[in-house]
Amino acid sequence: MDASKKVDLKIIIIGALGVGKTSLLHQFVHKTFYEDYRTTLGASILTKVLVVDNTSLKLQIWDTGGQERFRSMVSTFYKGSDGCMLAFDVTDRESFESLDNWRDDFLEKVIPREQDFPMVLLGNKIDLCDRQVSKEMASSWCKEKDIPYFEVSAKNNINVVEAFETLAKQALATYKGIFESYLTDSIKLTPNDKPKKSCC
Amino acid sequence: MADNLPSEFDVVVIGTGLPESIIAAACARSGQRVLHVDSKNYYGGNWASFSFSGLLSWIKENQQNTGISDECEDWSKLILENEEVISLSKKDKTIQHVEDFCFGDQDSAENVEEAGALLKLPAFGASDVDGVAQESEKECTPMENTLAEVESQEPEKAAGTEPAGTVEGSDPEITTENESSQSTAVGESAPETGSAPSESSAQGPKKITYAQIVREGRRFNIDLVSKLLYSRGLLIDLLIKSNVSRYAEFKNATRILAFREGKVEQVPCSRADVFNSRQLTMVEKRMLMKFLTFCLDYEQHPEEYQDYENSTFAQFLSTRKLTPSLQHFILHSIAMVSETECSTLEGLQATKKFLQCLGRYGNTPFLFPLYGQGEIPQCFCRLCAVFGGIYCLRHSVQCLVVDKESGRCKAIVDHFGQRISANYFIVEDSYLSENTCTNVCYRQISRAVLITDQSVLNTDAEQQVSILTVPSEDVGKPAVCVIELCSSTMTCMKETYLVHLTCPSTKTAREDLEPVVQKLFNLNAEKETENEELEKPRVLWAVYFNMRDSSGVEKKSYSGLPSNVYVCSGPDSALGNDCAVKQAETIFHEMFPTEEFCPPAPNPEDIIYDEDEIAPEEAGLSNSTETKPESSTEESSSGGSTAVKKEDNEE
Repeated sequence: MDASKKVDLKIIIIGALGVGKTSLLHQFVHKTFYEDYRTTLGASILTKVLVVDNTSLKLQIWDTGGQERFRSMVSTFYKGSDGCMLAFDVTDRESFESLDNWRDDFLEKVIPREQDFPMVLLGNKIDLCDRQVSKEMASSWCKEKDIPYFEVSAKNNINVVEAFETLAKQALATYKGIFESYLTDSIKLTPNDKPKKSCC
Repeated sequence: MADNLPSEFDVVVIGTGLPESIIAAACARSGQRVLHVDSKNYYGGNWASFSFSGLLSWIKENQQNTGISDECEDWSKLILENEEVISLSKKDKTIQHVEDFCFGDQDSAENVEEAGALLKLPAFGASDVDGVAQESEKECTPMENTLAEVESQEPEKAAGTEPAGTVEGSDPEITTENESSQSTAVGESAPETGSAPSESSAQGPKKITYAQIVREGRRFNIDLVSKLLYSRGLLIDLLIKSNVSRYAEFKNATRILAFREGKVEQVPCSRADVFNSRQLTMVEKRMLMKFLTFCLDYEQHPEEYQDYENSTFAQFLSTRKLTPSLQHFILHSIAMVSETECSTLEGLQATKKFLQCLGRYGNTPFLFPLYGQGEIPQCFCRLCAVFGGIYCLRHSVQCLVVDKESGRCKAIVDHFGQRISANYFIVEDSYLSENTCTNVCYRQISRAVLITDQSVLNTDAEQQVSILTVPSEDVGKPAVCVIELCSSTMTCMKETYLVHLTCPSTKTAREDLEPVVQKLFNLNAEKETENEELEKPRVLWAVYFNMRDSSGVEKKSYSGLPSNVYVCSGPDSALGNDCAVKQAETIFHEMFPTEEFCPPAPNPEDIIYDEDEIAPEEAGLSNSTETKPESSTEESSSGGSTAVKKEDNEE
């Protein structure tokens, strides 16, 4: 694999409505946080370039677009993903309890691989007081599933970068092991593409 | 998780096929509050694509005649005095004559599970998934080790044949301790037939078994609709304009094929192809280039064709000093028009369209979406969601509520008895009741999907996406369009091809298409046949079905629909997607004449909030923007190098 070539990875972030997925994304990519809960309009894929293990990575992170509200995510969302970020709200027990569903849903939709799919769990909103899910509870769930756990706060930017970077590393390691990387050999349509000279 | 659905929207869209999804996106984009529902648990309706197991479920559902009448909430009390109701259909009736055939040993797959299917027993969990996936992904080498392991536990069947016995699911004697060997037992017929036949049979391809197909089922993305995107067509233009293109990736169609005198041949259509072709003589090359050059610009030379304006294109071609094979290529594989029905001008226009699309992204005019056509409606749905559209699958609508006085539709009542009001309603044809559609004359589309083990035209480069037009032997009947997809389109497992056949229906799909299947493929499962048959690719599995073609139906053919209810059609039988896009744009502008249709969505890094703060982000970050031309417009003009590149990446 060419070390100088930038590796494109698709990461998706899933979890119940309102746990802070979009905020986590924005904190990571833009280092910003907006207090009011609002439906984000227009932003659905954020890109961040980072260097991990001497490799330049372009992370394409897909937000759900709100389709998780009635469990109606398009399968396009899942296809081709290289890593999955699961998130819940530590002050919302239900969002933790539904994690099994979110995880199963994800595993059912992706093409199975030899190794476990790169995944991390984020317990968000640790900056708030009224916790309903303890660190121990979340950690033991993660241990069972063999995925890393991060207690994070999108608001105060705690552990967000670490979580994403861990996932990115996992995804990169898996990516390198897959011989189907010819898949990246595809055409992406962009508004600025210059038509080649006509052959005829 | 349960959230309440708001009861007021601006636009309600029923059905998630392509035209209605484009409309939903356009509406959301222009600030409308959109509710988009589908009664199914998947997106796309008749435009959907399925994994192998998903398709088997779909087949089963459509082969059963029983209409499961669900208990619906009583809605009568939701309807006011001055309102009346238009019921919607309870059952989809657009698919008929579904016939599926398995040419492999179906028994051998009896207990085979799809890799990655979540097992109920917690003890197995992920590791079993790994075990199964592992042995199906790697080729022979790692299996030789585990085969030895398994052999000591289970009696082996003879190598090289379908070991139906050994695949008899979980052997109860093998304990759960050694999970990976257990799953290997299930799947070991795969490497067995994989490693052995290359020695035992001369040069035959590795035999893919039905069991393997089932196990690798998730690698299949089988479209109900078979289409390609013209590189300069309405859909590509819309995808780019709206930035919906960033949700999808594409592969070039790499070959244009023709079927002539019992053989499949490659059609040279670009200057480079013609130049490099070894099939054409020098004279033919000159003839073809001259003709194609003329076509690209034909309006400038009316003297060349004006005498033939009342003839068919086929007749015109016969006067152009072209050999019969060139005429065939142009008529059937380039213009792709009818020999009897198409006029000279129509044929010239079609040829020109084809030629103009060459070279934009690659050597042929066509692109194909990675993961299949079923991705496209979903991309538009995603755009709609991102702009606030609310999505509910598994959500049926019982009826439309109409105000008696104004005659306008005011609301819908859904399956759960909730009344939801809106100003505009988009309904896909299949949701309308028989009453509403009594006067509608539908055409049908005949479809077939095959899983095969080799390309129809074998060359050194295996990863090809090809389109082949097979003209009918009965001159009046429509030609059959065949699209062959390789595994790098992510629509089928490695070492198989997914072949789609389409034509406007004359009879049942099987009657319309099986003759063509027989010409191109070997349908005899596993038996050694004549040499001629041996050369043809083997069909491992096939399905035929007829799909309703509701395209081109005028709105007034539907009885009693209010003016603010618009109907979207299902898929049409043409190769491109113009019909869907045109429909969507027309309907959108009927509703919102002054709004722009799918303007470019902001750069993903620019975040727009729907309240006070407008906070566009600086582009000056390390992120690369989506609008920079990506490096991946890679295909070079000769097909060979593409294949070489791909093989390099495979480890």
